[in-house]
Amino acid sequence: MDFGAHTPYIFVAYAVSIIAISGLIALRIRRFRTSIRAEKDASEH
Amino acid sequence: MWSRFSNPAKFEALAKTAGPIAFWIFAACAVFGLVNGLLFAPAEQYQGESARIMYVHVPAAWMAMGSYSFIALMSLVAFVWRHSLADVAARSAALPGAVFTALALFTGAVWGKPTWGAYWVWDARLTSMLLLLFIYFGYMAVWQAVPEQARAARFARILALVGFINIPIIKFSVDWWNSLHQPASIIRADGPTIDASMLWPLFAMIIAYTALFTWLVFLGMRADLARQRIEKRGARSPSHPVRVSAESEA
Repeated sequence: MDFGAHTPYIFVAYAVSIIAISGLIALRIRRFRTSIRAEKDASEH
Repeated sequence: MWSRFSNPAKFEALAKTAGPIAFWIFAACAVFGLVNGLLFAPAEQYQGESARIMYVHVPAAWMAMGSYSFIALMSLVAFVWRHSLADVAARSAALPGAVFTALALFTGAVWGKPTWGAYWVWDARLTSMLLLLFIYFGYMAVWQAVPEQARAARFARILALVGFINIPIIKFSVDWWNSLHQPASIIRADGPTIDASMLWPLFAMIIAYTALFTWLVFLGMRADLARQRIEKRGARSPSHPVRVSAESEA
């Protein structure tokens, strides 16, 4: 993929978007799993 | 309609079904939009290849405003109808909204350099978007700073509703003031001014970001509801208090 002089701008914009969204997804899944696990542990005690 | 899902059990059932559907819509539309936007859509007539940044910038800006509108709507619902899940929904939307706003600002800056010759200008559209990011930070800070949940919810609702004034300012800033930013080219009375070869990947990315937001809000709400259930259980049996992890986002 060669977009001439605009290549670095396009790649930076796409890379940062993908990384930020991946991070957001990972954070939400981790928080969701932690909460569900804590609820499960609490119900067992 | 509001009262239908005020029962957390009914909401959980909905979220368990709708959440995964939203995720797969996000995944399918994102792949379609990214591949078409990068590989098959033509370069723009005046801006050239840099216009491909549109496929990540426009959906982020759309969801920055969409997420905030959702927070304001949920705050209104919580105020007027005392809906039990409205505050949970509004709070869960804050972090995704802030990330979308930051992405809209960043990708806009990266697009601005080859197009305008500057990463940043104190233009009405850019400045009002930056203000939106600060409003998101303030909204999240209120939830963190006020220890009593009922008071935090009240302050957060007021902030969300007052901050909503900024949304029409963002939308119409390009019409009200002289701006480097281009005027609306999709939502117009006379129809979109973008060619279909660019419009389809753009629509796919907008749907992808909207579905992602939906899925993330469902996940966040389910996590918050699980924590609330733990706290209630801990309150009911004080001899065996349950410690809830302090980790929270907003």
